Amino acid sequence: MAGNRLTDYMSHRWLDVWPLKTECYNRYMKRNYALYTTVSFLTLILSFSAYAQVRTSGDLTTTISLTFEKATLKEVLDRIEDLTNYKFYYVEDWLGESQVSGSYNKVPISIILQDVLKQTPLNYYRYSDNRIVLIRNSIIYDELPEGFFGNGPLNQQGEQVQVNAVFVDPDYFSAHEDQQIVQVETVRIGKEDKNSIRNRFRLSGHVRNKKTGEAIPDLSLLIINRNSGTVTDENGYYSIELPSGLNILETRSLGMEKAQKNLLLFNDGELDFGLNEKVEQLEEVIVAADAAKNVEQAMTGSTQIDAEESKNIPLVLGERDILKIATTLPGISTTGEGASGYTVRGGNTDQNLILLDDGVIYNPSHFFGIFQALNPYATKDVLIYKGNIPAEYGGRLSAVFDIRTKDSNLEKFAGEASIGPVTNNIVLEIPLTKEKSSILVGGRSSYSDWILHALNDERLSNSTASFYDLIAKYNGNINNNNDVKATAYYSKDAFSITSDSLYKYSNRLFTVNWNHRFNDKNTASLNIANSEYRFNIGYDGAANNDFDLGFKINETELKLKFNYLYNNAHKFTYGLEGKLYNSNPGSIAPKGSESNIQSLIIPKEKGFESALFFSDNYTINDRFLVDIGLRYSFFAALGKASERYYEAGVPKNESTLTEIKEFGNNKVIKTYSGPEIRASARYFLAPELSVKASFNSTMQYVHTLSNTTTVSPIDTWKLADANIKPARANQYSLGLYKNLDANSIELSIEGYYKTSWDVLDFKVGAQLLLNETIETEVLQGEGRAYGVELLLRKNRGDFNGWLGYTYSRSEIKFDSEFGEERINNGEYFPSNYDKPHDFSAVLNYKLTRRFSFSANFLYQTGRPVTYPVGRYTYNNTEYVYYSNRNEFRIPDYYRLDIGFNVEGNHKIKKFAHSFWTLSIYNVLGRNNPYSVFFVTENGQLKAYKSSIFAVPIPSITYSFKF
Amino acid sequence: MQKFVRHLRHLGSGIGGALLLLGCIESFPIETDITPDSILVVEATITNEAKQQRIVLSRSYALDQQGPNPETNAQVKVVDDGQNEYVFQETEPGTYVSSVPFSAKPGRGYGLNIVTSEGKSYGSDSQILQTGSVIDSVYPVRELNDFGKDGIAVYVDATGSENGSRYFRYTYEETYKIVAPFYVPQDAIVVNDQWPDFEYALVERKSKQTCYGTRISNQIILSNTDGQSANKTKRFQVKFIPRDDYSISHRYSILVKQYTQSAEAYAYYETLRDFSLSENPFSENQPGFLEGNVFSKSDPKERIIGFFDVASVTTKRMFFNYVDFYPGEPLPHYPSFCSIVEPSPGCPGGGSAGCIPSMIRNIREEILVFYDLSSPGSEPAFGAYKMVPFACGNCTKLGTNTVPDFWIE
Repeated sequence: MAGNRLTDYMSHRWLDVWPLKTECYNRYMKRNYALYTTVSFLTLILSFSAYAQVRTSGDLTTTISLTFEKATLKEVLDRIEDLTNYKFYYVEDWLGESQVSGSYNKVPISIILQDVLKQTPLNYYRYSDNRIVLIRNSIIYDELPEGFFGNGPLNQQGEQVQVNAVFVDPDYFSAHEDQQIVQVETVRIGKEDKNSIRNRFRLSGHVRNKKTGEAIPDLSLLIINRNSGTVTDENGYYSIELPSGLNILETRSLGMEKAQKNLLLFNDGELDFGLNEKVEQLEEVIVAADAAKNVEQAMTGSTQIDAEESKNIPLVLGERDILKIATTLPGISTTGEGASGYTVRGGNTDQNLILLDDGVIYNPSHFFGIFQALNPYATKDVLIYKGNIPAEYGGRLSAVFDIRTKDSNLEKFAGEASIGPVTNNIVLEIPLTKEKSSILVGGRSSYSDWILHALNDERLSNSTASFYDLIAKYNGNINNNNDVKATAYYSKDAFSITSDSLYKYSNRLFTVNWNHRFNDKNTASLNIANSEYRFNIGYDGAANNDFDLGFKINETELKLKFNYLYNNAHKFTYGLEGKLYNSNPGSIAPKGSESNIQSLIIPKEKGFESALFFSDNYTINDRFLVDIGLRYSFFAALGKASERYYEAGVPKNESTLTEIKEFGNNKVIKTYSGPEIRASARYFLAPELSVKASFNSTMQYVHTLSNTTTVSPIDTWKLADANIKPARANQYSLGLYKNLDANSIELSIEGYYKTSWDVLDFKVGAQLLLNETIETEVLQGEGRAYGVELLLRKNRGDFNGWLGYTYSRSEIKFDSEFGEERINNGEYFPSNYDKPHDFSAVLNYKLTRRFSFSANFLYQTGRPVTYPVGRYTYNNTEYVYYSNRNEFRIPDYYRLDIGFNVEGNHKIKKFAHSFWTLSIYNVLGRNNPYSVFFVTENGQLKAYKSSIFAVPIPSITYSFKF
Repeated sequence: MQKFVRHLRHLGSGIGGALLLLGCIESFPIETDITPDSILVVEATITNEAKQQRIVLSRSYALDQQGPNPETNAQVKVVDDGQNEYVFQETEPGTYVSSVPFSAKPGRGYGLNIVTSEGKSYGSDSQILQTGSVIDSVYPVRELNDFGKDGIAVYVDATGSENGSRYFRYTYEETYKIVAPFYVPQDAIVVNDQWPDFEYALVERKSKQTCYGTRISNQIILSNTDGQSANKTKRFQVKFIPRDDYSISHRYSILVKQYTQSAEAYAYYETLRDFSLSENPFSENQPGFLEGNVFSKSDPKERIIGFFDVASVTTKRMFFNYVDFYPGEPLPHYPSFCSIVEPSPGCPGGGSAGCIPSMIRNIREEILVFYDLSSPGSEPAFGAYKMVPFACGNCTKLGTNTVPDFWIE
């Protein structure tokens, strides 16, 4: 067919003449990378043809006689071909089905063609003696039109007549064909009229919402290559005058999809089109979809930190740590360097559910909190819920840290590795079956004990300290409806600080996750997780008290979750979970035959925690969204156990013990249960401005036994039982959220008020480890916390980062009619985590693509401390006595870190992509007191403050990806 | 139990030390703008020894003040559940001694009564004497301590009664021989201290070369036999003497006293000890006001420090010589740096009326002591003496010349 040959013709080279200025073009290209990559084939647009054979004019003077009645164009053209030796070249689809009639007697072909093509957007062009090409929209000029170079004829009004030929840079379209990702629609407007001397045309039209069909008012229509634009009126109509040729139209509106169209304007015309509601855009699709999350979702107090995006932030000794970064966000903090555990909105460090791929990690840190125990290259992101917690999560009072690992690359082998001052690290992504399944393996380990050996301290000369963590993750797509993920994780720390002791702790975790899609509306996921945390202390000294001491907690969880997209308004999530705890609360065994230590095993504890949950994400209208969740949790303390019962209402001790009751294996000792309400709502006050409120209640059935402010090596976990009740909390939050500058800037202010009951504390000097009657040391009291959190966050651009400020208080109360159970006369007093002012700034500045600079600044009010207020002499030694609990504060904490990052060059063919990080931690060398303590030395009292990193710590880390 | 907790503490401090590699621990002045209430402090341990029992009362003082701050003119008595009253008399400020010797009897409850000079009265919970235990042996072992330091560890083995208390507190009294290294049997005295004719003479020295020094423990030393099959304390270290401590230079003796306490008393002392030992940021304990068993009869909110304790006591003494452990090795440094000097017997430049030569000042203030003549045969009136720091020639600054009754060579 003739039409097919057209392609051959079009594939010739075009002359490099175009009306777009190169400079603007380049700038444009830089600004809008998306478009740059999305230009499609536009092979039918041409400018000057340099084709040498084109010499004759388009006039077809051959005359023929022809009559036709309701014939299709094709029939007419075929007839002409029959009558002459002309051949037509065209794309058959262009001709359409329209019928023409006419009667000609010895008229030139050109007249006939002009008539029959009048109602079509087609022009014709005589390409060689007997070939005629039909062209859509364009007229092909075979010579430069008169006046093309500006010296054209003057029209009657004395204006210089502008040449109206439409020129398009063919290279512009052809050069980037290989990079195209999405086809930008090209729309031809109007039919070129050879006689027109106008070079500006009017484009008008109507824009509607594709889904609802409603008109879109106030939509910005930008002609981005002309620096002009217009806005639709209230009924969605627009009108704009544009120069002929290529006009790149882009639409911008809040809440509407951004659309681009390449308009080829040949004449006045109309363009009506529809837009989708959600933001969908190439490359930035994920970012853009999440960009409005701050204002859109109903959840209060949730934050996401992306591991890759946060890699520039300087951290101690160059070790990436997303959990540390989390502490720079309002409401989340640590007690200081060397303090493991996180405190969220005034809660204790044991009140956070830390999940790695849905399995619990009890101690997510190495080296007592200085480094995270998660491999940064295997980690994708962490989602933190500190306000409203989705109903599917439970078991902790304050927060959920949902850490997710990367899905391994299904396409090709990839990896990332680093060499830093403390650890080396490698992560490999290995596809198993292409596009079906892949496995990620990662390992990280500290070097030898140089940190300790660098110390000129005789006490540490024989010390060792090391840690490592391993991770493996499998992800496989079974088919369109099923995928399976499995994660295995192990982390271990070992220390031998004095020559005769060895301290070890480890986390072990295994999870399997199966996602199944029933249909478009129903999906389910089944999750099985097992995790274990243990520590062990071995002591092998000179005396006869060598021992092995151990603790272990193990939990196995099964969780089944369903998602049901009922309709556009209701999205349901429901399911159930069950968790079995097995704990060895402590054991000590003699080491060696000489040891006089008697074996002691605190009896195992067992508990079963389960919950049913249901939530409805209900879109009431465009502005109002509610997320109502209900969780009903249940806990049973199970035998085998000898449970001690005490007289009610008096302090528990040996003399008030009434009964010891024996329970057989799996016999229920005590049950607790209760509803937990997770409700939140969002209301749009204006586009990109929303108000949210939530109410959240939680229960917690396991607690740490710790009498220190930080997570300490010998903290153990205790299940609720007949004597220790579960803790409960209620939290109310209210916030305002605003996004600016197309979601690139998020602004939020959120307030909360939290009350809690039965939170644990301990009597003065309580002995918590290996205590068989721990309930006699425990106090359970009330807590209240409130605060306002401000966050300004800029996610994109060369200059990004965030500023956060929190004012918050956290107070607890332990009252009783018995002095030993009372703290501070039974009044509210600041908890260990009460730090009213907390400011942080995390700033990144990209100098060029390769160089970036970043800085953190943190400020916190010093945490409360119980100071000695007076002295006394006892047994010839001076002692101090203390103020009320937490009456004073340690000095304020502040720290500045800076980092400089150099990325390797961006050559595509390079083997690996490298990344250098130079950072200085604590640039100001601030001696931040980590703790304050008092020692009676030689009968004299001395006060000391200790700090972990009192000097600026430079480090350099090299990492590379392949 | 306690043993491993102690080791944990060392372990913890090691970890702390490791972390403080790049950080530091620094001393800072204690805030002094806090003026707390003055709190009554009661130190009262009644024992089963037949003796005049002793109770010490004092008051707390502000951080920037110096103690002790005795509580005087109080009426103190101990009453048992047989209505026997033992009245205490104040023998020196704050120290009250029972008028008659008595010993606590097993199975009997004792209570403390105090009325202060302000008229406030205080009482205590009733305490019962715990069954005593026996110290089987106290023995020295040369070893490296947890921090790798060489020295002599003093261990105790003791046996408690099968059903008796398993909680013990220790005190000790060290006595050790001191030999003045620059002892000579003469002393220089000043015969004429008037200008210009200063005159000195040598006389026979009254003090002897050997003295006996004494130190009393001031730390809280506790052990228990919880978690052990028998109520037997084995190899419990009460004291570690580093080898560079001069007290073990010659012959050393230690008297270890073991108090068998109630669990409550033990817990009180334990917490008190932990408060003062808290040097480890990782096991920092939550300090608070430590409530004992003494209370105010008029104001239940008033805070009182101290524990009225009734304990049974057992003691054991042990001796050892330096050469038993360090034969042929150099002695620890003498506590004084011994250098020989020759102070000027006259005033510089001839002097004038009223001037005092440095020799006179050194002799009178017992800064230096005679060691030798300046040059053989020279007369004191003309030349100078060779002198050494006082303690180098005369050990009475460090101990007493009197041989203690218990001393066995």
